[in-house]
Amino acid sequence: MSVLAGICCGFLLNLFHVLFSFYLQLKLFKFVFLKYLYNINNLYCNKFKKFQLESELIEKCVKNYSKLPRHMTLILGEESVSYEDLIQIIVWTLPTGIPVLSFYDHKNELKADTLYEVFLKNYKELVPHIKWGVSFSKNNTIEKNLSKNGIIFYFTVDIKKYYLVFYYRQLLIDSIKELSRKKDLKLTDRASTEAALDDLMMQKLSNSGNPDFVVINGNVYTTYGLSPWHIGFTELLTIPSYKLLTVKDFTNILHVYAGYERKFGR
Amino acid sequence: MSSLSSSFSPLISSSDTTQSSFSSWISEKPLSWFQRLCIYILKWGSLPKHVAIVMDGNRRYAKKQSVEKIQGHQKGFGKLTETLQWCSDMDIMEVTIFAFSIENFKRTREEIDALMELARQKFRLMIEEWKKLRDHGICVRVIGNLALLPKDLISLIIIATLLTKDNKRTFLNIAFSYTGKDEVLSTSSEIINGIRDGKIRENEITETFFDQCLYTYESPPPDLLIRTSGEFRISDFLTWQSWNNQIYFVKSLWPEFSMWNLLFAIFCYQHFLGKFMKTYEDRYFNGSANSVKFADTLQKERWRILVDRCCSNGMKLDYQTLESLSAEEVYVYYKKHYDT
Repeated sequence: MSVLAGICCGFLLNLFHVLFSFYLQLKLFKFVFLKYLYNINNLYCNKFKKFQLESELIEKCVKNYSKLPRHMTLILGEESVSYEDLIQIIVWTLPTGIPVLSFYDHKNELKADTLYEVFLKNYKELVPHIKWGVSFSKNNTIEKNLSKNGIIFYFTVDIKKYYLVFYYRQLLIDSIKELSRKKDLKLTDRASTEAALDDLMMQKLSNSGNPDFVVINGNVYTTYGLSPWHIGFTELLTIPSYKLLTVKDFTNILHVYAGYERKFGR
Repeated sequence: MSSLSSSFSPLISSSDTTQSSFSSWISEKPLSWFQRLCIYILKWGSLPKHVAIVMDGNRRYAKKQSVEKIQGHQKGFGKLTETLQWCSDMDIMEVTIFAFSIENFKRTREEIDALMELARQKFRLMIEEWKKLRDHGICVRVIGNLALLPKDLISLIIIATLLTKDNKRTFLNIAFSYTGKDEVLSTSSEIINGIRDGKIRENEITETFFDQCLYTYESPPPDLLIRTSGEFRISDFLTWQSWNNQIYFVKSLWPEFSMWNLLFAIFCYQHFLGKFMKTYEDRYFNGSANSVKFADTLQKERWRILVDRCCSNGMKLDYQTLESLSAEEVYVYYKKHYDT
């Protein structure tokens, strides 16, 4: 009897999971449909003209947002790499005033140089506006700075690497060893040791610093091993698929961030 | 996903409608037959072994109910005891709760004092209920930078953890005066000093060795991290340990957290389990005898420093002696020196 009850319960649980998968797919169809309409609308539109129109729309929307992230990271998650969609996100981020945009692919399929080449092929005129981060072998000099509200800034695009499963953990171990070897470094108390280690880790991990906002591709909130030095106080958001984003979805994502309230412990 | 769970209303749930009890660490509210059935069904899938919870929203709840903030925290405590009961019913053996962050010291003096007083009450209650905790097999550990806390509170924490250290069925880790970065930096600092003093060699420092030196050395990494109140960040809670777990955000404020929120979080955990990175495999610490000794000494040294700190507050025995006492003897010691 208990075996029969167990079988029934197992079957019921699997049924609920199947129904839940179906529900998630239905939610996705809405985005698929809207993306299809978006693509149809832009089918015969000149790329640069489309960029200008969308930039105006984005600037108009973000003007009303109370805050924007200083550094936004997109985690690709389980989805395959689509360079066209990634460069579209770069192009949309350009007019927002967000200084740093980075991508994180734990599968290591995203190649920096391929991303650069695809961007160059499609938006050659925008390349001088972007500071390509340390992941890119083509370290270019900025010819044209960007300006927002009278402030000149660089727009940096970077890729966060994921070499090994426990990369950043090993990085901390290496940093501990490195600091202990520095005999000339006066680590008189715990506070000075901690400050020195924190500086060293930030230096090693990324030149772009901590992301304020991490957008996770997929239905599940998980950071796929993104370094904890990066995400302790970062705001998180999931999106169904970065390949299905329209410009309206992109502005909505930033709108969600603008609505997040930070209390800093208070 | 969190909006789906918060709109799902239980069919029969007497325990959710009654007032939460603030008077015991052990909640013995009966579950409805429907709740028990849902738990039974869920248990046929994978369950997280370790759940971490950020209990956020007590003050907003108090504001919503137009009561004092401290009453919101009291209600939050009641919800905590209920949640521990639900986890126990679901055979989730380890729960870590984020009770007080180092960042929270930025709050007003008045609020901090009220929270510390509440903590004193709850730890005293835990000490008085040590037999109940023993019967339920609950081992309480407190992790964090405890040196930042008032001495009398540290004394109560030490006594409470000693009273429950031999209980092995369920583990409750209370993160108090804690942030993930502080944990990692302070541990690293201690290891660096150890290398400089010649107590440990560089080649003995590995990731698993580092894990053994953290505050959470006795616990596996959390499989599921739940955060309430609709905030979408982890606030530096177990960030080192949570590099590959699933995070579930709930819109409800912590005192409004229901069993259905928990069940749905676990359902989602099951649903997405195979869809992200491989779960953390148990990484056995196979260090040298010297590194094992160093890690062990480091943990004991932390407690020794805390006990010494409490000496001026009446703690008459050193930690080694206290650790060797049985739970009954520790309770007698507490009654003699601390109970007023």
